[in-house]
Amino acid sequence: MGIKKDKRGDKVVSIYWFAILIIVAGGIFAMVYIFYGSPYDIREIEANLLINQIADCISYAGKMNGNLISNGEFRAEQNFLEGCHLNFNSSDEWEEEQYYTEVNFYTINNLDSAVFNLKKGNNKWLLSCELQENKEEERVAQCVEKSFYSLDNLNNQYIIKILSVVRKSEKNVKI
Amino acid sequence: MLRSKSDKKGQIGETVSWIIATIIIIGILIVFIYISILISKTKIIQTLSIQFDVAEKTESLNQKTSFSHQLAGNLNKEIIDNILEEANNE
Repeated sequence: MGIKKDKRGDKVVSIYWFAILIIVAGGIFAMVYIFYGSPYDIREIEANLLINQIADCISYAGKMNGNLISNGEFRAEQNFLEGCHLNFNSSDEWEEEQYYTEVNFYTINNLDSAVFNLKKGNNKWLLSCELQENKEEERVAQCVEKSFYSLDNLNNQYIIKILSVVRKSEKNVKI
Repeated sequence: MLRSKSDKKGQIGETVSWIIATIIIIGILIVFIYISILISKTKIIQTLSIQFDVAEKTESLNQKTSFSHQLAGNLNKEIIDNILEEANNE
């Protein structure tokens, strides 16, 4: 009499095999989704480009713009930055402006108090800069501050600090 | 009767090894998924890494400072450079 092989075990093993295939496929899908699902954060680059654009508007070839300062006196109105070809209008995705910029002018004798400043944009995002002082937070606005040196027409020396704040968290960070 | 008992032992032994293999595979997958999460967080483009396109613009602030130093005859150059270095490294 022939010995019948017990094949019930083979069916159970086949189920396990498919289960493992599904688990591995699910794992690969999860890895790809996690990696490509998070966007690139380019806000720091954007903030630096904004600073460079503003700096070009304020100072060129070592001298400050004559419409900004003349004979040692700042005569620019607060809307001086409007003439710097800055477009802070974001796409329809946001109701509020996503940018803020602030320019402070200091003499080298007194760096604690600005002699003049210019502002443009939504100043609500300034709070993000204070939050980021202790710990880097991706989901709040990104702040970049750069300084440079320039002269007016009387060769008075000024340190110019430009702060640039870019939010647009929904586009740059996975929320 | 003895034969049926040993047949059952063979099936249990094979099943247990598959369970252990499944647990090991799931553990390895969890490790790889965690690595994917860590790598996805490094997707930040630093300004310095795009020197090819942005180099001219990122150097413009230094150029402005240099022009001003030349026009002022390097008056207070060291003081100003220290101030700027401290301010830009904050």
